[in-house]
Amino acid sequence: MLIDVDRHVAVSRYQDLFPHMTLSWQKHFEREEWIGSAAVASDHVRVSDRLRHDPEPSPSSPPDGSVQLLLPHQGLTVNGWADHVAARSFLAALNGYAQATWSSPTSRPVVVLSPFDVEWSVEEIARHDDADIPAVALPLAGPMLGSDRWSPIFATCQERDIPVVVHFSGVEGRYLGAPPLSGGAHASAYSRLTLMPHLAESTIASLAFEGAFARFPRLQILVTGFGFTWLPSLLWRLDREWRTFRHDVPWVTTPPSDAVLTSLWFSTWPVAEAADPRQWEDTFTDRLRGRVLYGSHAPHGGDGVADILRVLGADWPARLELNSQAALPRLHTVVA
Amino acid sequence: MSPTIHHDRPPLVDCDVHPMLPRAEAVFPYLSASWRRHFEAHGTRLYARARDRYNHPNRTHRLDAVPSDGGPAGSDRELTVRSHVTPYGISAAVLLPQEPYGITTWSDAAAAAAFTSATNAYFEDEWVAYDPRFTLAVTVTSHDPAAAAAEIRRRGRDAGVVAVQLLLAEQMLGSRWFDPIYEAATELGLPIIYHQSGNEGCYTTSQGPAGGIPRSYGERHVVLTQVGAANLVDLVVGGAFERFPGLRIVMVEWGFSWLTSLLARMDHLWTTDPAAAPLVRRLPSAYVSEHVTFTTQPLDETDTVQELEALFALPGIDSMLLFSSDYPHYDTDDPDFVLKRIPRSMRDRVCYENAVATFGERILAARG
Repeated sequence: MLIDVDRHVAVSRYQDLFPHMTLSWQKHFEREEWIGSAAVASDHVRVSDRLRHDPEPSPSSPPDGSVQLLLPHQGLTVNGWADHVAARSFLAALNGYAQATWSSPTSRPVVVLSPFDVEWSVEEIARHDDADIPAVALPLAGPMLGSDRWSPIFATCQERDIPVVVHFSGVEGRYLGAPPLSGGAHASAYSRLTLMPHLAESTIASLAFEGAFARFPRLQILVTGFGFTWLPSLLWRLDREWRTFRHDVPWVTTPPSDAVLTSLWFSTWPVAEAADPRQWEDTFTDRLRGRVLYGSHAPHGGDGVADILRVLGADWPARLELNSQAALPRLHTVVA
Repeated sequence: MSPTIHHDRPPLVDCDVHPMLPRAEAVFPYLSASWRRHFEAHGTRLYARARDRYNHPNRTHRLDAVPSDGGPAGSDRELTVRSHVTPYGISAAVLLPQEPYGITTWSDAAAAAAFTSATNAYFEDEWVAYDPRFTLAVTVTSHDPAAAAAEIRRRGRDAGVVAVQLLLAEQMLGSRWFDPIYEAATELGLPIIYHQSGNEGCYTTSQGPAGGIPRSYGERHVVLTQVGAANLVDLVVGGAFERFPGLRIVMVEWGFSWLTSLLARMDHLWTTDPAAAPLVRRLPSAYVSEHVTFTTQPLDETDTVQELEALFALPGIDSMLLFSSDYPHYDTDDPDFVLKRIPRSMRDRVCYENAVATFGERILAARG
């Protein structure tokens, strides 16, 4: 059973969330511009300059028979919101809607947490845990993920064996307050999408050097939507800087690459960037191969299993299947 | 003094050697009276990294590069020759003055231009004229592109000048802001050297890594390479190589192991949707291999021979790598250590052939 860990879903009409809100919050959100922003919020994840996009199809049984970990990506875009309190209410409604609407025998939505309210996020995990949520998604905002600020969320996830999904929302490097991308200001969406893996790199460096892996040794984090071919270079740099400055971070007692290969998972999209195996295969150890998951990124021009076969070769689908069962035991159990 | 060439290896060009001023006042003779009075009265800040924000856990320099009679590491030209240039058989060292890195944090563009120019003049007189193996990257900051272009034209034809060191603040390299600088540099056939200044991730006016604020020096150092990569992307996306077909960029101290995945991603995304980057007219990687070179330091410390070989698997990398040591910094790469790790088939290119292609024959021309 192959699990697609990067399948996106979106609400086409924000009014559909109203039944999952209190009346006062409904009144707050009953405003033309917010209701009209559903498509905008859904398009961010495409990181595109295009002004028109095809509507997203509703999730259905995938043609390749995979099981889907659904990511309500509009929820991720709260990392660009100015009103952090409203963001929390939006996420609560979105999570309620998602569990009621998109759960199926072959798909489960993640619960999206608020990066602005750790305490509420912990409560939100508890609120949904009975539904066997397969994972939670934490939009990137505020201190980087290695910070102790996130410990209550990580402790809860570790205790309940719930993996954390980290995926860009698409407003990074664009909206004030959302995490920046590398360099300066990038007007071009092409530049931002090209540089998006740096967001994953920095998140991993933060987790490693701030000791999060040591504090939560059983926590599993899925870093999805960023590809995977950049990993060897990052791991060499992580270990080199740790060797040089390990006296400065005494809480990191083992090479960071070890923790990365124990605690993190990565996904395949966009697999076509790995089209020339001569450029990455020799640096990709067996341990690294054991941490890659299938992620289609559908329906945003995503990759099918046929693309994986064509680019990575015949032995990869079986490997990805094994990996995804290890990464998402809850989802595997629920749909098995 | 003539170049020293070890017989057991090809000529070696070290593309990243930092000379230092013995003290800020050393450049005062090269300033006008009014600027001299200005700096005497106001002082100067000549380091870029916010040291109260990211303090280096040890020291940024090698202790054996500190002159016995005082002054900062790298400020004694004779010591640099005796302990680095001659022992390693370095035929040419590209000097990248470091004090102007701090000038990137100044707000006064006129003061920045005056002090940077005086620094260039000092190193021409005191280092380049001292030993023909010393060559200079004329240094300019991004404050005032017209002033920077004038400085390039003022010194770009001088003996021993082989490049322009362009120091950045918030503007990225693909911006048209830099067109006057690129115009002057290409007019004189000088490549642009882009080296991190230390301001990265420190100020509202500087560039930084993705994601947010790294907590420690080492964590920041892991992701500092991203700033170089971002500017490389910006050069391509901004159409700089289309506007200046003769423009050559030398990326110094940004590493290069990240390049393979970055170029594959750029090419894939551009091929998927060329209209997303309207100033890009051909495969992004083609611009990079034609216009950009990268220095070796810090050479990544791979775990296996297979990984080491894979470091050099990028098609065309043999024409894109230049040797660098980063002397006298704490993480200086030992030439003997590094060159043993370069594939034998590439060694001549990395040692000097690519440097000649980048800087011209003048890089190895002994000047009496």
